[in-house]
Amino acid sequence: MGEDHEEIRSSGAEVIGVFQYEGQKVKNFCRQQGAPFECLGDPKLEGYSALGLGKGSTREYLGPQMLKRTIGAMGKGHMVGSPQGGDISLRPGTFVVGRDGKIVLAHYNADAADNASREAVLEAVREAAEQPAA
Amino acid sequence: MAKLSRGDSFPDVALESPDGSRQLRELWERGPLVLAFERHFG
Repeated sequence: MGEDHEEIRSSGAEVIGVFQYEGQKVKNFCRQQGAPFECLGDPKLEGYSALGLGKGSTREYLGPQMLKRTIGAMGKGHMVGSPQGGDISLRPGTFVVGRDGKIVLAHYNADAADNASREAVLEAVREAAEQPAA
Repeated sequence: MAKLSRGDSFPDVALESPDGSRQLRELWERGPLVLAFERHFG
C-alpha cells in the first residue's frame, strides 16, 4: 500500500493503516517502517470484528505460498519483523469508503498474502471521489 | 460476524492514535478513505 500511496492521494483519498495494537505502538512501528500514511490502532479488535475479518489456518500463514511471497517482499526491500502480541492468524482486509460512509470496495484477503489489487483500489477511490458529500 | 459488501455502511468504530481516539466517521466525512486492516507487525 505504501508504494501506491501518492497515486491514491492524488486520486482524492486518504490512506489509513489499521493495526492490532495500541496507538503509540502503532505510530512507532509506522515511523520505523517509513509508512507514508497515517496509522491507527485497534487493540480491542472492534473494527476487525465488525468487518468480519476472520482467522486463517496455520498452513495459510506458515505455508509455502506465504513463504514465497515473504521472500519476494524481502527481495523488494521490505523486511519482516516479529509478531508483537497481535493475532498472527487474523486475516487482513482493504476497504474503500465514500463520504457517505458506504463501502465502495471490500476486499477480504483469501489468505494472508492475498492483497487487494492496486487497480481495484484506485478504481474504487476514483468512484468514491466522484460521490457528493452525504 | 458477517462480511460486508459494496454498498453496506462501514462500521463507525473508534480507533486509537497516540493523541486519543479517532472516530472513523469524522475521517470519511472529509473525503474517501482507504482503510487497510493489517495483519500483525511483520
